[in-house]
Amino acid sequence: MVSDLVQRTYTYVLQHMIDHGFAPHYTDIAVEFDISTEEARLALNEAAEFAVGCWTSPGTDQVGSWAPFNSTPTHYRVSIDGERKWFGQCGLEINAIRWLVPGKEVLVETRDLATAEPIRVRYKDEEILEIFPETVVGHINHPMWKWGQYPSPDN
Amino acid sequence: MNLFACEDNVFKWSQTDPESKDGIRPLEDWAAVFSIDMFRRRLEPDYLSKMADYRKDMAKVLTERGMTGPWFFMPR
Repeated sequence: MVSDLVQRTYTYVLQHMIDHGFAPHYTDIAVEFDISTEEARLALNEAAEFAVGCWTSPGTDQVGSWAPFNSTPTHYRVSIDGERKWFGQCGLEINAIRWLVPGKEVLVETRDLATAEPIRVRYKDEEILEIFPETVVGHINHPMWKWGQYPSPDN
Repeated sequence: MNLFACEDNVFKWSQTDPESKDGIRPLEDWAAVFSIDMFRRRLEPDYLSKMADYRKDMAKVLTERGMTGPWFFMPR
């Protein structure tokens, strides 16, 4: 059972990622919820542990990734309605960014890891507006049911 | 979990597991998988407590998309 504080921390971090393009520090969470910094630090780590696709950077209490976004740069560069300030967690989670920004156009620009060819995908709500090149594929290096065993999405 | 410009390029990347061919799917398939409520409802105020329910459609959409092999479902 997840506590109300952990749920609110999860939502606050995600909304902060949407609004600012990076995650808050746990001291920001302490101020937001008028709690001690230690309570905030613990809530952040509990939310990261409970939620899928969320983690702190190894050895720290700083958010590394909060799906579908990354708080540190990745090669999945994301623009929303023409503003480029976000990074996608991985090549699959980028498909879910649009659900957090209804009515807005999401552009993902990246490069092929093998050839550095440019790849572009644009979304708006239910529609995929562009896939360039048309032959783009998504690849998982590990079976889906083993994802919990791996610390990062192989970026 | 990455995008590649085409299927052939997947195996040109030095980090690709040579056994992972089944893990290659068109972007549209992944877009469908990442459209279930588990991914749509992340901002709802009770999301974490309902996450397991939201995840139930995962098997359905994987099956609909033909993603039924051992890369997607645990072998019995």
